[in-house]
Amino acid sequence: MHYGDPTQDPHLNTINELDSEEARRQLNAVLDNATVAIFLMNERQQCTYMNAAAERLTGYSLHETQGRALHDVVHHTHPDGRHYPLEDCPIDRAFPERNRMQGEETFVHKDGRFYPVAFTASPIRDDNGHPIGTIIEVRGIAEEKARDTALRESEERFRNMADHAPVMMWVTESDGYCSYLNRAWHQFTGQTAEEAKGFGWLDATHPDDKGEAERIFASANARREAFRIEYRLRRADGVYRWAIDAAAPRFGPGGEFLGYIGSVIDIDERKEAEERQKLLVQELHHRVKNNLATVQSMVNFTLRTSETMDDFRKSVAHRLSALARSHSVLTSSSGRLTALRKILFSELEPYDHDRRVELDGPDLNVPDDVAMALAMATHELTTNASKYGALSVDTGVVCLSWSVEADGFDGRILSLQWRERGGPPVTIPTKRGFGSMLLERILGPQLRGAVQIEYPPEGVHVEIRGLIQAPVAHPYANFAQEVVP
Amino acid sequence: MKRNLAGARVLIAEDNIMVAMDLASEFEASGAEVMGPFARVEEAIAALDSGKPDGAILDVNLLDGIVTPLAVNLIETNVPVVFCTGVSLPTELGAHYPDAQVFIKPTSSDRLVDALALRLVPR
Repeated sequence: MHYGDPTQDPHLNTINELDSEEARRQLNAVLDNATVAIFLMNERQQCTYMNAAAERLTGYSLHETQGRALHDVVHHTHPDGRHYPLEDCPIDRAFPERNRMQGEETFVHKDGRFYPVAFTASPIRDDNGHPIGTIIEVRGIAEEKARDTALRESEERFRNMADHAPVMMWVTESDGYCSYLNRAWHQFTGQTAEEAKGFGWLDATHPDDKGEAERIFASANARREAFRIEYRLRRADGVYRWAIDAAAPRFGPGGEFLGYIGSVIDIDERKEAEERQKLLVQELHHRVKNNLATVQSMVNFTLRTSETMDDFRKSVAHRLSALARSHSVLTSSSGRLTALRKILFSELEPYDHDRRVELDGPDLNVPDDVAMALAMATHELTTNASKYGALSVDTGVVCLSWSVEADGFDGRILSLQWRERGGPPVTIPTKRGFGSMLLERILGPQLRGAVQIEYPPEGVHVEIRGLIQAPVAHPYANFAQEVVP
Repeated sequence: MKRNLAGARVLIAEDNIMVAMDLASEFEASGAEVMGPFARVEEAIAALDSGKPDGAILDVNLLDGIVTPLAVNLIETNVPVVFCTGVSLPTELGAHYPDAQVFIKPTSSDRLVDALALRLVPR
């Protein structure tokens, strides 16, 4: 039995078999209950019929539109206010072109507002196939449009967020096809969107890891489960970096599987940071031990060279302060170089009034070990000057000057002069203490140079010469002379 | 106990200025003659040309690197050595000389002098 052919069914009558009254009744029931707006137009594009949905959509009733070109009633103006001539209207071209036309347009409601519609205009033909009118179906699509816009905006928001995220992100569809990778991915791998899309992203993984990554992804995709892969990812410069790729399945409102959203983190970076931190802690440990050793030796040495407990107490306190000051200067300097002027001045600062301290020399940076040695020497010379020399009286002056000369090879020699004047007449010391031990025996070899102390009656004169050499083994880095702000 | 190291030559390799000064004066107060103190391995090895010491106190990390070449030179020629280091002996040095005497910084200079004094061979 063919249900499609009503003539085969004795219980159903076709419209053709009904009397015309009954046919009209049934046709009106169909047309007026349809949710799509239906218009009939004659050969002059005038509206001859509107169903109920059409009246609701346009705001006009049939008698308001009858006898007028429908276009001039509901479609006369563009949303930007320009006139919309009938000749330009694609809906009305169905008739002269004898073709079905479909598309989207914006109509004007009776109350003046614009609303988007989807239309289908089909020619009506007579028995000879000549067009005698047009039937137009129109659907209001304002809600659809709003949904589309909202979706597009939400999509744009996601992309905007993803492209500014500090991690690499990607999105796949239910069949595993990668439809989106964020900017961080493209920046890291150097892949273009075209190269990475689909399954191209796998080409950025290490050849030894690619097979396994593909297998884990495919099997997770089949089970729709979250997954996590570790692989080496090729960076734009060609270096492979270990990365963790973690992904969660996406599900639609109806619970349907949509694919995955995943993020990729370069864990080499973290590993390197951990390694750096470990080294820093070791370095710190080493320095703390070294400083404790310094303090212990300083106390021991000071004890041996002090005549009274009061001398001892004062000397230890002053030397500890000097060490602390030097450390502050060294810590605040960048890298492993310290500004010479800063380290020298930190010792002489307490006497820097009434023009009693003169510092004269070029701005230059010296390696930290040289800076520390010169700071200690300056401390001892300053202490000595304040006890017996130029800084022990109000009229005395200390002049500290320095210059740099080439050593004839690849290094530079620092020459530093300490001169006192205006102090009490100098006598050659009979006892050798901390200062002279430091200056005469330790400092020279430490600086690969020499220290000379003279005691002319007008004031102590010390010359310190030392090779200053940057600690990095770079052919041009043996000496770093920089302008210190 | 008052040590008497009169006539002994002791080499000191130490790049910490304060520790070097303290050690040198501690040894000299005991009557010893001090070679150095040296802040660089290279300079200490060069000084060996003018004669071997009777004993040595060695820091491990010096300004120009690890003390190993100097330590090996001394130990292989039967010079008693005492190490004083902030961390530990370099692995290959510790493995080669498991009996090496090592003090971890900070260690007071008189303990180091005592330790070396016990190992000095009277001449």
